[in-house]
Amino acid sequence: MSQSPKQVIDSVFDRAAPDRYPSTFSAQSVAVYRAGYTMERFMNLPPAEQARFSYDTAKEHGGDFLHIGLGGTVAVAALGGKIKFRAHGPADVEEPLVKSIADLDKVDIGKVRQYHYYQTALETARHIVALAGGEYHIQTGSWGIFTQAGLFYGAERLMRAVVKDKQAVYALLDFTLEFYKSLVGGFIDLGATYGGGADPTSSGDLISKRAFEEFSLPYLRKTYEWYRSRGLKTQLHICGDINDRVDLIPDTLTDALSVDYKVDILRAAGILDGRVIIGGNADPATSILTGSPESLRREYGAIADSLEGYPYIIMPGCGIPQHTPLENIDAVNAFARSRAPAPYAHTGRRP
Amino acid sequence: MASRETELHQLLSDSVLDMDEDRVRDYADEVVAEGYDAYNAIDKGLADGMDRAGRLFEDGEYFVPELIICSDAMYRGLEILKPHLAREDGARKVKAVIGVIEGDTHDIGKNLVRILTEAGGFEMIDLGRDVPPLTFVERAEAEDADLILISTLMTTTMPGMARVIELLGERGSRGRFKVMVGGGPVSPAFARKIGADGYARNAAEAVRVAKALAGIEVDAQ
Repeated sequence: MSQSPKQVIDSVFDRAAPDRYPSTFSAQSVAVYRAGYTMERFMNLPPAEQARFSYDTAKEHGGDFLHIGLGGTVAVAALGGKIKFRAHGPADVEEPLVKSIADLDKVDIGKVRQYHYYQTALETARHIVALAGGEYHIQTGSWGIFTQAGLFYGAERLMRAVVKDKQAVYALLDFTLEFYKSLVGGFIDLGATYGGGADPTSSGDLISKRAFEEFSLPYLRKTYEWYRSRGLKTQLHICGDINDRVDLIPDTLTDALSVDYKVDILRAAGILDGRVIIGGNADPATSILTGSPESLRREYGAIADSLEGYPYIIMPGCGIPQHTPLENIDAVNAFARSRAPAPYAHTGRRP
Repeated sequence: MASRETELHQLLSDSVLDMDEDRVRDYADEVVAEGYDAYNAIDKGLADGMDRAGRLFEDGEYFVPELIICSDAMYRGLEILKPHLAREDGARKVKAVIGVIEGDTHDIGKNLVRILTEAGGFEMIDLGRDVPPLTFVERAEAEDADLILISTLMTTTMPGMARVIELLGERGSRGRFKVMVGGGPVSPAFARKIGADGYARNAAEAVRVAKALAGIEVDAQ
């Protein structure tokens, strides 16, 4: 009998090659778009309906996780910030929550749990956990602390403060970490088994390796320590080019790293040497959005071949556009189901 | 021995590069007080400093925080020097509209491209962020621009870039403009695929590509 999606993921984490390739390719956002929903409309559906949609989408199109939670962008509105929902794609923060670090004293983090979208997401999560029935890992999380801090304070202001006002940055990051735990903690209580998220502002496209070590890394580590203390498996994605900081990733304590298409995944695997599971990394726009099922099968076949013997999960090389053809996602997940990885030679464990 | 004016240009340039807003202010005040030409001080001092900062960015020595603070220093100097510019000679600058495509409010990269291209001698019409594809086209037509520069930091909004080019085709004005795309997730392959004329990996490269597209001689530094 073949392994369930959860068993496939657990195998990789146990450093035992599963009976097929694992995949995080989710058709959720594409299916929401094709069903004619905006994100806002979808989030206002009854929780049972949202849960059923997500579960059915995973069953039909594949992907080895079910996701629960409330995104950190929407959660900014819970604290009094201004966000904008869109016809397509995710919401955006229109104006930063605070103009000065001193203003953080006036922000009540507890408000996030009273927010109506949080309450709806919690109810949806209850349904999803019930539907999953132990067959899937339940993934939760939000933006990384450095990125979320940029949503609160404004990314450009955060960039200036990184050079000119380090104490302000630390105060902001401490506040953001507490917010993060409040936002995500409720979903862990409900049964999430897998945590993490993306931290695009920690990218080498934006900040130096030194600034990453000084500001992002300590808070990634605190986040992943917290997940570990709650018994979750973890994953981290940093958008863009992180070739220069792959060696620091084990210090974040994440179990798995999802790399952007700009990262040399084979080189990254060589540096991580099995200590961290790796995932990735076809270009979401050029390959996944505008490529064909056949070209994607070839591309992921080549990546899998190059990483033979390494604990690898099939993932996109960043967020998938909503206009992506479902056939392309189906093709990647069909590829994952069709092949079994070779036994792992890189386990990250000392003999 | 360098003249006092040349010395001030160098000091302005160095101060921008060193992210030292106070020194930029002081040297810009000296340019004005000593009666030197404001245009030359901007071009050979402030813009030169920003150009050097852009090169350090390309070399991986400066990152976005450093570039932003360099640009703050440059703008501090511009505030002082601009009121003292002699009347323009009427020569038309290469004009470009620039913005972040609809659905995306991340504008740091776009702002840096605008700053560096302005420093490089372009007239930039900044459409801001979250700009619908049609607005790019209409404003480019209305402004009689030469270039359209489109940025995004999100994979989810990249199809909007293609839509700008489609709209230009539908309106029969594709040939009037050179279209350049860039931003974190954008790749040269994507730029080619949607029919863009140019792609830049980062803000510093954007200046060179924009100059090449506009037929301006590029400094081979």
